[in-house]
Amino acid sequence: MKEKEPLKIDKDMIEELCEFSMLMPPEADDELVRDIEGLLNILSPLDSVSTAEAITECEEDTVMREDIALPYCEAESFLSSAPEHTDGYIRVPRTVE
Amino acid sequence: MEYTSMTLKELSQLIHKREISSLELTENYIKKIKEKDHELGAFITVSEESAIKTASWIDEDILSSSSEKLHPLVGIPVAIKDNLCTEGIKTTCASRLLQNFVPPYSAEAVMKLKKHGAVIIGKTNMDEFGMGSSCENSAFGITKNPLDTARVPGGSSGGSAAAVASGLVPYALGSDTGGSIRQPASYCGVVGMKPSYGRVSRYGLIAFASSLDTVGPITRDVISNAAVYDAIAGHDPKDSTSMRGCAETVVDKIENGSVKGMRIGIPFSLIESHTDKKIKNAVMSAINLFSGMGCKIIDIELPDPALTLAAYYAISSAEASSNLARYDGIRFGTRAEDCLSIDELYKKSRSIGFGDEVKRRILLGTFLLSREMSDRYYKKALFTREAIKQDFDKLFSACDVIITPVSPGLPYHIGKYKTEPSARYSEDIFTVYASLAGLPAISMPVCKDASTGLQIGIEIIGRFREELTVYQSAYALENEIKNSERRCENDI
Amino acid sequence: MIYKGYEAVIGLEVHCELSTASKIFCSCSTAYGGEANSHTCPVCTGMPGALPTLNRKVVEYAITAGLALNCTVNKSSGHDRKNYFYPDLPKGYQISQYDIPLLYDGHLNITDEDGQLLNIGIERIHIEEDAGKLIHRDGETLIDFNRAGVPLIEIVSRPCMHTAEEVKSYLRKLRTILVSTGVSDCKMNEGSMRADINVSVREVGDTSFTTRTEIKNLNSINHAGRAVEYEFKRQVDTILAGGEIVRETRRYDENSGKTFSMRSKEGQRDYRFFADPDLPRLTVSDELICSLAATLPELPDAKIARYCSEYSLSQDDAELIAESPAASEYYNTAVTLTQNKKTLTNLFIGEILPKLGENEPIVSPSHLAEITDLLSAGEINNGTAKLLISRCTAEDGMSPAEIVTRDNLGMIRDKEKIRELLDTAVKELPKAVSDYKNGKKAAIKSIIGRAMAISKGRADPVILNDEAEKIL
Repeated sequence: MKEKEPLKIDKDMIEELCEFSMLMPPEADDELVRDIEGLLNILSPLDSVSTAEAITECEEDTVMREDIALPYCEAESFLSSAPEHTDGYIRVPRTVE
Repeated sequence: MEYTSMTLKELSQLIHKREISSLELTENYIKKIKEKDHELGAFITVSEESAIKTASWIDEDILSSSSEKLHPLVGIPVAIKDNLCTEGIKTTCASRLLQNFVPPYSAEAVMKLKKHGAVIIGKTNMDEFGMGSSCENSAFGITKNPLDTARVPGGSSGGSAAAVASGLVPYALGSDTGGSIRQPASYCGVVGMKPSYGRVSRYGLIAFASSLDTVGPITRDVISNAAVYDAIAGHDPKDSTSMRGCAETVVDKIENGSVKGMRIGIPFSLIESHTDKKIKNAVMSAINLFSGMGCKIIDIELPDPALTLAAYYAISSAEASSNLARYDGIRFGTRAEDCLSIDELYKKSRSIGFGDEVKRRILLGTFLLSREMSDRYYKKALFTREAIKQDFDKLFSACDVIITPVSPGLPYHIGKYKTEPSARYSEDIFTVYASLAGLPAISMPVCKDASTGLQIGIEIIGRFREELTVYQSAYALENEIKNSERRCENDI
Repeated sequence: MIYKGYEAVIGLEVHCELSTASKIFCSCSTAYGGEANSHTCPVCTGMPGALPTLNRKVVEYAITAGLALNCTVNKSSGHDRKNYFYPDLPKGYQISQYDIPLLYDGHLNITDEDGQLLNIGIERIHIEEDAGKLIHRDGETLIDFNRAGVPLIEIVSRPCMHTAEEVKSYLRKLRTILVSTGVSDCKMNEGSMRADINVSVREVGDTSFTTRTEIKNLNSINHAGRAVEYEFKRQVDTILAGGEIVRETRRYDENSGKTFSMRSKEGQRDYRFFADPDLPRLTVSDELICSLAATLPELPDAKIARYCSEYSLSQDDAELIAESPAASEYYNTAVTLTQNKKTLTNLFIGEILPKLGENEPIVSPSHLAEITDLLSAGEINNGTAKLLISRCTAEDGMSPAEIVTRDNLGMIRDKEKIRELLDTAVKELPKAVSDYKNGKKAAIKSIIGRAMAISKGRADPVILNDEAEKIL
């Protein structure tokens, strides 16, 4: 694909992206194709950028945390936000490995 | 007394003099919210009970500390944008996916306000997950511009800006990723500050684009804004991107600052090509006022706007697509029912939970990060951002602040971009510069458009970490506007 | 390992849990066990608004491990997000290092079946967070996030192993080195060390790389060996039958000894790696690297070499002792307390080594040295030495010499006394005597044994043997 050609999106690509994003494919495919192409149009100026050299900034030392274990809260507090839980575990439908 | 049209600073003085109690003030605001908010839709949640309880406790504390100087925020109600976690108060991000989510923790910025005695009166409406600039992308209704309810208040912090502008609350917290504090502040005629990136902790701010998100105050006037900024700025070890070292307090240095000799950069050609006449006139009137105060006006070139916009949308969508992966209905949030497989649970919960704009950005972001595409757009966007930062470094060797419009035009009508959502993105053109470069920028009203009654604002951008300079310039301008006899002439 | 003219090309990716007190990006405890979801917080469960903060000890431990494996440290490395959806991954992405790892270009040495030294290259070592645990039940899956966020190092070897034995040696050596540094306890059966194995095959003499499969999550060294053997043969048989090797993930089933395909989709998942914007670059200073290098303990290879040269141990004995830090520590102390190092080594390997790490009480190194000296001086025999070891262990405070005196354990050397013992034994075992006289020479053993028993194990075996032959 030549860099300068505007990118075309089709329904298959939308479906694949939905799969990667864990979204259901939309009913109105055409509208979404048009919307995403509209967004890609906004990105098209990036085609003219050449990234010969990466620019690195001067960096401060990384701030790190000391290795001390601190209890945060009881399991119940975490589970109270969960839609479904049982015996102290979060529950979901059977997951295939 | 009509408290609800007072500034935070004025209310603070009343509290300090013990002329009004926190409870009385809080009840006043709650009453007004109940009267007016159904027209505006600024609030998603009004936390009346907890606000009254807090106000009562604060009054007890005030009573027992009779001679002590009180913090400027003590006892004063605040509204919090609904993407900042508030312990015990529903935090929805304006999304169906979080419609019943009650966080067991508060954002750091919220904790700091609470520590200084603020009374959280409610959570404000916004564009879902911060994605949008009109407050039309909320799962819980549209917020209207208090100056003209047929128009948008701007976004994504539209609820916070509308609440402050209409006197429903003296100040509010918002968040700004590409202009989400500055643009609604400008549209509603109030003051909104986006601090330098890393200045205010992002802990507890529900992430949209991690390298761009900031938290900042929205107020009626500059001095009040600075007081809130002082309360929330500073290093937080829970946020690894938080700026190191103590934040210099600004509020006590603003009034004595002078702008004489300050070099102000103005991108004249960009303004010429990208704004309508009314906005141009408003910017010119601000420039004239600064000139009159002894400032030097310098014509500058900003980096290419289309490229800047492209870099912003590439980076923000890519980061958002990853940041929103945790919203799956498994550990919290709304889970779709009757799902027979884990895949179904993911897809249904997210598809029902997210609105269209969020889905668009997620899909775009996923696309940009994919193996085939990441070199083409995302990596180039990162490179572009570094180049923009360097451009601003150069500009700031010749200027002390840079002034731009906030938006190309006046607040638009509700529903304008309904059929063509991507046409809206170019409205962000002026605000994305400071976002990408991580610079502090304030938006403040300059004059009123006589024919519509709408306010027009300008943006003042400062060097990285120089919030004080930004506030000093804004304060000087605000005073000059008040004192000046001149009016903007904005004929239809 | 050659099969039908093919050889295997094997690379390993080993994940080790680091023994820090808290998780890599939050302060939750890493302690094993504990009620489900009791070691959690908003950060490690991916709650809205939560942000990661890097644990300093993780970086230090990772660098220590890397230095012990002869790696170079990248003074500036990054954290990258690996994006995918799975219920044990709370944020929908794992924070790892993709582009630039913390360490690279290391190696370790193993000896192959012929005793030849083999250098196995290590491509990179990076830090990352572990995921939660899933428990599958009827129709549902339960999630426990206690393990989510536990710090891991991933050690990626170069694909330069060719046999199951090499794989097992590599894993054993890796474990020994890491355990000696204290950064991980590497208990495969507890999950603190897991191996993924990449296997491909090629005709002997070919130097190209072909399509590989990945066998995931092996939790025992023996299983790793068997899995490799099975997969090697499976691939060769597939090719020879005209089939194609597909790039895929497989799991090893220990009951059948076979590997099975895990994913139906071919090809690699796209993890959409990008630099994590919540974490700044990871920079480490020369000072830190130097100070960690200075605190490295004596590593296994150096230990083995020293045992062989200083104490004249055999390579096998030296490797046996060097494999466990507890063993080396004990041995290092005991061996300096006696001149009779060979005798001490034998006693140590025979009697002490099996008990170490079993939570059983053991005799102190100084007492062991004393017992060695008593044995070497001929004051006790081998059997008594063993008895003395167990009595000393049980009785705190008394020295071996004191116990020998108190319990009358001294070796009987006096020929008169030995003859008396034999006389008694002969009287008790007339059949053995007659058997011996009738030609069954082996029958003398039961007489010697009975005499020894009567002496309560104290008779000098050499003298006993001599006298027994004289008497009969």
